Amino acid sequence: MTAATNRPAARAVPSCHDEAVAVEAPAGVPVVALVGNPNVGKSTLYNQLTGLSRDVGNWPGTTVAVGRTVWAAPSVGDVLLVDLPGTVSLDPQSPDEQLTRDLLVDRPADERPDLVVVVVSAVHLARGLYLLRQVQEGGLRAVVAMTMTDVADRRGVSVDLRALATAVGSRVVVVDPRRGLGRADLQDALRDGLSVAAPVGTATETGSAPGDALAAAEARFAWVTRAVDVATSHGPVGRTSWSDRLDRITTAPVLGPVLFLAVMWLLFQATTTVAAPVQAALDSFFSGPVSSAAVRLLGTVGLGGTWVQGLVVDGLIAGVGMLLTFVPLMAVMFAFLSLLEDSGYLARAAVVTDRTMRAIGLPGRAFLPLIVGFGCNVPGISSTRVLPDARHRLLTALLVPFTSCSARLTVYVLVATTFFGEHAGTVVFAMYLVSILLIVVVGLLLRATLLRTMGNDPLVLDLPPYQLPLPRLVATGTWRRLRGFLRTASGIIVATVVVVWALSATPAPGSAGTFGDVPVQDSVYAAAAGAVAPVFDPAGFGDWEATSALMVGFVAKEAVVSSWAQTFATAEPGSADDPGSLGDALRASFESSSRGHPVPAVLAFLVFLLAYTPCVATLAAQKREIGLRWTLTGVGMQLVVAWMLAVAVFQVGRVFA
Amino acid sequence: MLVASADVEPGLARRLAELGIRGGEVVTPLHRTSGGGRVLAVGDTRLALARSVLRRIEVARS
Repeated sequence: MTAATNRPAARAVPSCHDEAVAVEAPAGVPVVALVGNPNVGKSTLYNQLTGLSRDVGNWPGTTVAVGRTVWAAPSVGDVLLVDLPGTVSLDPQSPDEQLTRDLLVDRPADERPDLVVVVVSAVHLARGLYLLRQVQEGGLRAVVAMTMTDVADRRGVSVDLRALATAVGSRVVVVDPRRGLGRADLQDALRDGLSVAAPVGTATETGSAPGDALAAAEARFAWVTRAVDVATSHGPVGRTSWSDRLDRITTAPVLGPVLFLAVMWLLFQATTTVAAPVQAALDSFFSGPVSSAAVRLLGTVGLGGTWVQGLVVDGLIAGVGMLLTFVPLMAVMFAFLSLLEDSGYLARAAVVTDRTMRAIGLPGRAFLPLIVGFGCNVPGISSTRVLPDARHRLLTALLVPFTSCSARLTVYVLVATTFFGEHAGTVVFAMYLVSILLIVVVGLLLRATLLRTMGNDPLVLDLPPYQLPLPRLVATGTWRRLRGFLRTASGIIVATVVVVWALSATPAPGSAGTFGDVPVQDSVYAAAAGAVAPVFDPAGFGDWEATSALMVGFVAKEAVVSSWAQTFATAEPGSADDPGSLGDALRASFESSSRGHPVPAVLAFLVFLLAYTPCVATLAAQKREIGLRWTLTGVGMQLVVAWMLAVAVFQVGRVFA
Repeated sequence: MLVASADVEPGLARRLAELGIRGGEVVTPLHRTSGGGRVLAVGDTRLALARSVLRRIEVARS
């Protein structure tokens, strides 16, 4: 370790905004940055090198994720490995690319990485070398890690490593992060690379006159072309490979969309047939055996029937149980996403859906999170990661809550069968239409207001070669995403469930009962619902019963029906076809709160239920993806949109009813 | 086909050039895609382009 020994002990990784996030690099630990074009296997390499300890930093508003880990590299020693967002070049087109440029070249010399590993795909050699050239021009030491040589081989392209290294003036090693090969070579290259003095850069001037930038680009292209010419040889290769033949089907005008819908149908099937039963089993396991075991245990230590039992059973166990019921759903979704990404199909799906999504200013890929959202918003928001541009991720993550998830369906079905009898199906269907309409309208409004600066470049998309997904890679990718979700979501979900329990266990001032032993309607929770209720008077459901159901619905829509059951002190209906006495109670409640116009009031209630915040788990996922500020902005927007729509529905409906 | 020029805004032109669509490079149009665009073969890579972009790229038969 030579060049790196006298660097400052800590360094700051700057964000696109003012807030800086400090990365503590222990004194003397050299910093090695991974850069590369999108889809070259850069993050896979990062995860392979560091194990699974990816530490993701979130920057509010832009969600540029930079992984950074101190990696104890055998034969090199400790290295702070920084995984930068994928970028085509250092002339930034998106915030992600801007961040990469900021960290690499726009920093003072002593804050830049000691060594840059440029991950280059053998299939897209020219493109990768263009980025390498820019890194070299920035005065950074570079090592080339070449991936996808197997795919290039199959295409009849072979690369002469020695000739390439001579031509580009950087060491070149072959790695296969998908199969875990080439690690030792890369470590040797890092060790050697870190022990030589940094070259004097010729710093690229992208900010100067456009003519100069163009000339610089021309010079770079010439350099790249020379290097590619001396280093690669093409065997005889047919013009149409099997990948092309497959593309002819997957992106075809009619067949492509049909195939895409089939894949999406499969995704839904996977969540309902695989995840849903496990979810139900987990749910009954926590509300059944786990809860009764806790009750018994507390009974033996003399705490049975006390508020402690309430806290443990209705607070903690219910909260953890709710969190865990998301696990199978998220696992299936993440595994499916990994499959789609790893195989290369996702890029084709993006081509197929592109024109539809352009209508609201989003690229084709945004279709996927929205479709997933109709199953469950939480994985929908997590899957916004398939979008390379941070602004697109932000807009999509703000729109996903308006997709009508399956938890909301349980409430629609109960309410619709209670109030609309044989027309229930039509009402439920209408809710889905309203949901789609909301996505389009809110999307257009956001584009015209908060996200005016968002670009809408026409489709220019690289179609990566198809690959057979590796089960190990899908499994680790799924686990990593799942772990990330649990780490960020667990706190919020469990805390919210505990708070709701605490509020409903606390007697309201002036009512009988003690903490932990009070009927719901006499609790602080009911008092709060009563205080909020007048807000919903113009929408026709301004009583504490409906309001408290909506408050519970803020935590989880699954809880709305059981909350009503508790409120009206009736049993939950056995089936949707037989709402029973709960239906009678509901009818009476809406009849009085709407002063004789129950039908428009119920429709307004359903619209509100559709449009406002889906659940705390969604908020947790949003906070992870787009930061707290945008999450709260989203909540405000959902409440305003939901309230205005509900009032409009009731007021207009009252005239016609 | 030989690319002559791409008459698009500078940022997009640069991106196209980085992806291999620049003056003097050979591209081969492949099949049409859903949405009205096309897939282009540029060297060993495949790019999906929207019709609006394709219309602005001038080519000469090589």
